[in-house]
Amino acid sequence: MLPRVWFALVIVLLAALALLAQRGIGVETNLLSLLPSFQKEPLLQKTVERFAEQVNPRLIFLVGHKNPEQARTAAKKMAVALRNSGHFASLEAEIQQNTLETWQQFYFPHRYRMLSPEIRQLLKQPDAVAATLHRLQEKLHSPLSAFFSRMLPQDPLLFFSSFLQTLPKPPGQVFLEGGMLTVQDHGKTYLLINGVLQHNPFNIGRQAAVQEALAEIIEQATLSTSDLEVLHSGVFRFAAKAAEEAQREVLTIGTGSMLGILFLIIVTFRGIRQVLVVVLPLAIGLLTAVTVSSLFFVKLHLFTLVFGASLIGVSVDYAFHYLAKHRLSAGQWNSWEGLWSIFPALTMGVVTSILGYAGFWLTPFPALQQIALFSAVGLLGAYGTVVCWFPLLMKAPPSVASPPVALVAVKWFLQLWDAIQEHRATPVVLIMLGIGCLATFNSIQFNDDIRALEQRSPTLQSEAHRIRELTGGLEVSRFIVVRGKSVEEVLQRQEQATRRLQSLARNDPQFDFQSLAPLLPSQKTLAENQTLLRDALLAQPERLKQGLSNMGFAPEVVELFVRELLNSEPHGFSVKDWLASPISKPFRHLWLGKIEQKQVSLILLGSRHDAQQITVALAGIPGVAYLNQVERISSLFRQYREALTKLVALSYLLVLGLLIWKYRLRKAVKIIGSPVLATLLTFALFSITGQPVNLLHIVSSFLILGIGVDYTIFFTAGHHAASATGLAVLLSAITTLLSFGLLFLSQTPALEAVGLTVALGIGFALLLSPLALTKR
Amino acid sequence: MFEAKLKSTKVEFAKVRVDCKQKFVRMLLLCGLLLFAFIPTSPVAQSVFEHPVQEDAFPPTLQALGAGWQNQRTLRTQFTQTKKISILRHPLVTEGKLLFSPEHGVHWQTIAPFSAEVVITPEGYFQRKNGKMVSQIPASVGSGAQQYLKAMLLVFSGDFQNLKTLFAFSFLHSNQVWTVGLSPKNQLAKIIENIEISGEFPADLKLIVIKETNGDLTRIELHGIDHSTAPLSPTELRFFK
Repeated sequence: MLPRVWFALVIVLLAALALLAQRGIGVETNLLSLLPSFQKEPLLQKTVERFAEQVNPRLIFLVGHKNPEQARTAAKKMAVALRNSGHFASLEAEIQQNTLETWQQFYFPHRYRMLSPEIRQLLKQPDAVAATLHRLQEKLHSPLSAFFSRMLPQDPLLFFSSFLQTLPKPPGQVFLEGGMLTVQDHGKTYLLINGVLQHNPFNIGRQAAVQEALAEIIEQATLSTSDLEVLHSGVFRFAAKAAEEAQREVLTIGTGSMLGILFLIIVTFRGIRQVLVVVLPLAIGLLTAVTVSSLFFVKLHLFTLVFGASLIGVSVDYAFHYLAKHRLSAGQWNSWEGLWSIFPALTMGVVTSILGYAGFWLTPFPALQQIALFSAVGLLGAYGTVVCWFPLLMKAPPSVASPPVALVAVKWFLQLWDAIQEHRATPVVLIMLGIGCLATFNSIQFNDDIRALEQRSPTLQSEAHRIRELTGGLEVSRFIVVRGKSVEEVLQRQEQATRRLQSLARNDPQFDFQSLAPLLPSQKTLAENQTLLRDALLAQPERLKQGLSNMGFAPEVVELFVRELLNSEPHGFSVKDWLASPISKPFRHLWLGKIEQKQVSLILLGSRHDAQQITVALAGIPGVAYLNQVERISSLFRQYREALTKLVALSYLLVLGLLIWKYRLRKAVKIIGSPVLATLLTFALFSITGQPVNLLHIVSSFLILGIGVDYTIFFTAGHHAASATGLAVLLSAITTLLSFGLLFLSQTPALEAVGLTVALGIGFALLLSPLALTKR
Repeated sequence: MFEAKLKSTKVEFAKVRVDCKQKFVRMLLLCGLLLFAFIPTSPVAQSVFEHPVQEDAFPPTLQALGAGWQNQRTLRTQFTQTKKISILRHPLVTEGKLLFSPEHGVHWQTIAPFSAEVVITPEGYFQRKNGKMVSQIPASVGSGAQQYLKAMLLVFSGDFQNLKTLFAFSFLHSNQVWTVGLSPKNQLAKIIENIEISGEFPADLKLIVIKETNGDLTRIELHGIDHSTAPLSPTELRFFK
C-alpha cells in the first residue's frame, strides 16, 4: 500500500514538473532580491526599485588610445558591432550633432519664461535696462562674439543663449568633442559608449550569450587596432560573473559531493544496488523540492539551488541509516523490521531538521523562505522514499558478511567516547567549555556592510574603479529623493534643493550633481520669470527701444521684439511633453513619476560629496531626503542579524521542547548538547581568529542545529545499534562536509560564509555526537 | 616708408603739373595706390583659399613660419576689432590690448567703447570682474565654442601640428607678406566658414579675419606689437588668476 501511494505521488510530481517546465522555471541571481522589502517605507523602496530598473541594464564602454583619431575610429567601429549584436536596446557613441539644435527648438517657444540665474539677477538690478544693454555690448564685443551674434535675430537680448548655457553638461571630466563624449588621461584619449541592454542583466538565460558577444567584439577591436584599451563596466558584468561563478560552483559542489558519496557507498556497502538505491531518495528529494518551490515562487533564487545542491548531503543521511542497518544485520535481515527499528529516529530526524529550517521561514527574507521550503520539502521527499520504498528494494540480506573497514574507526571512536563519558568530570568540562565559548562572544567582530557580500572579482572591481576614476560618473547608491503630492510640488521642491546644492557647488569645484531643475522649471518659477522680465524691461519700453537702435538694430526689429515680449502667451510645457521629447533622453532616469500616490524625482550626486553636508544643506525642505542605499541595506542587515541571532536561540529551545516531550529532560539535553556545543565552538573560533561575522554566518547555525540533532537522535536509539548508527553518522557527516564544506571554497562571499560555518559546525557536531549515547 | 615718400613726391609733382579735372582722376588713382601701400597683408588680389596645402606636405616656408611663430612665445599687442553683423546697421568697433602667453592663454582687454577683460585659457572662457575670474563657458560645454576657443589659442601659439587636426590649411605668400587660410574640418564648420591670418615675414601677426557661415565678418587688426620675449610680469601673471 505505502509503496504504491508514494509511487503515485512521485508520478504526480513528475507531471507537475513537466507542466512547470513548459511555463519555464525562472532563476533569480540578484543578490539584493535576497533582501526583504522595506515595509516601513514602501515609497522609498519602490523609488529605489524603479531607479534600479533604469540603472541596472546600463553598460559603459571606454575605448582608449594614444592617438585620438585611432581611438575615435575604433570606438565608432565598436559601437556599430555592439549595435549589430542585437543585445542592446539602445547604444549611443556619437551624440547627435543636432542635439543642441533640438534643445533650442524645444525651449525656444518658452524663451521669455525660461531665465538663467544670471539673467534673473540682471533683471533684479535697479536699472535693469542699462544692465541688459551693457551685457549685450560686452558679449558682442568679446572674442566669442561669433557665437553670440548668430543668435541675435531670434534672441536680440541674448537671454535665451544664457539659458542654453546653463543646461547640464556631461558629468565629471567628460567633455564633448567631435560629437563624442571624451576623456583624456595620461596622454591617452578615451571615448565613451553608453549602452542599455535589451534584457534584464540578471536574466541567466541571456547572460552567457551577451558575455560571449561582448568578449568577441572587444577582442576584434583590440586585434584590429594595436595598443587599444577597452574598459567596460555595469551591473551586468558583476551579475553575469556572479551567476557564472555560482553555476560553476553548483556543478563542482554537486559533482564533488556526488562522487564522494558514490565512493563512500561502494567502499562501505559493497554493492551496485546500494548505489542505485541511494541515488533514488536524492533524485526524488530534488524533484519534490524543485516542483513544490516553483509552485510557490515565481523564480527560484540561485542561492536556493546552491543550497539545494548541498541538500544532497543531508537527504542521503536517511538512506545511510537504513543501509548501515542492512549492512550490519549479520544474517538476520527482514527489510520491514529493519525499517521499523530506525523509524522513530528517522522521523524525529526529519522533524527536527525541518524545525531548524523553520527558522529560515520566520525571517522576512524571501530567499531564505524559499530555501526553507525547498529544503524541508526536499527532505520530506527523501524521507518518504526511504520509508516507502527501501524495504521493497533491500529485501535480500547483505551479500558481504565481513564488516566494512570504516567500522573499525567508528568502533574505536565510540570506545573513546565511552571512556570520556565514564569520567565524572566530563559534564563539568563540557559545560565549562560552553561557558568559555560564550565568554568570547563579546569580542566577535560583526560586519554588516552589504559591499562585503558583493562579487569581488579583482579584475571587474579594478576596471569599474578605473572607469569611475576616468569619468567621475555619478553615484547610483547615494542620491537625493524629491517627493510631492503633485508634479508642481515636486518641481518646486526640486528647485529649492537645487539652489542649495548650487551654493555648495560654488564653494567646492569637486562637487558635482545632476538635477532636473534647470530643465524642468515649476509653473511658479515660469510665471515669476515672465513677470520679472516684463516689469524690468517694459516699464520703460522706450529706453529699451532707444538703446537697441543705438546699437544698430533696425527699428522694425526692435518693434517686433518688444511686441513679442509684451504679448507672449503664458503657455508652458508639461513634464509629459518634456519626457516625450528626445532632449530628455539623457535625464529621463531622474524623473520617476508616480509612485504610491506621490510624484517622485531624483537628484544624483558625484562620488565626492559629504553626506553630512548634504543632509544639513537640505534640512527644512519638505519631501526632500538624502538616501544612502548602501547604508540602508547594511543597517537592515544588522537588524536582521540581531533578530536572527535571537531566532537561533528560539529554534534551539523549540527543538529542546520537542525532545523533552519525546525523550524526557536528561536525554533531551544530551541530544541537543552536541549541536549546541558545536555552534558555540564555531562562533568562539570566529571570535578568536577575528573572522568577521555577518547575517549568513548566523543563518548557517540553523543548519548546525538541523543536521547536528539528526546525528545525536540516532545514538539515543541504544548501545546495541551504536555501531550501525556510528557508521551512518560518520558517512552522513562526511557527505555533509563534502557538500557544504565545499562551499567554503566559493568565490561568492555569501556562499563562502555558509560553507565555513557549516563545515566547522558539522565537524564539531560529528566529534561530539556520541555524547548522546546512552550508557551501557 | 620709402614707398610712402615716393608717393608724396608724386603728389607734389601732380599739384604743379596737372590741371583740376585731371587732378581728380589722379587723386582717385592715388587713393588706390595708398590703400594698396597701407595694407601690406593682402599680398596678391587672389584668395588664399585657392591655394590649399597638403596636410602631410607643408612647404618649407610655411614650416619655417610656424617655427618662427612658436619661437616668439609671448605676444603683447594692441588690437582693433571690427565686427560686421548682418542684423546691425553699422559695424561694432572694439579697441583694446591683447596679451598671449603659451603657458597661460589669452588676456583680451577691451578699452573702447567700454572697459572689460576676458581671459581664455585651456580651462575655459572667463570674464574678469573686480579682479576675479568668472567662468562663462566651461571648456567642457558641448558646443562649437570650446573648439573655437581651442583654435584661438592654437592660432596665437602657432601650433600648426594641432591646428591641422581642426583645420585644412591654405598658404599664400610674397617676399614680405604671408597669409595662412584655415578651413574648419569638423563641428566648427557649422559656424566658421574660414579664418584668414596674415602678417609679415619672419612671423609677425598682423590681421585675423574670421568669416562666419551666416555672412558675419570679424576683422582683428593687431598693431604696436611688442617683440620682447620677456616672461610675464607679476602684473601680467595676475591677469590669469
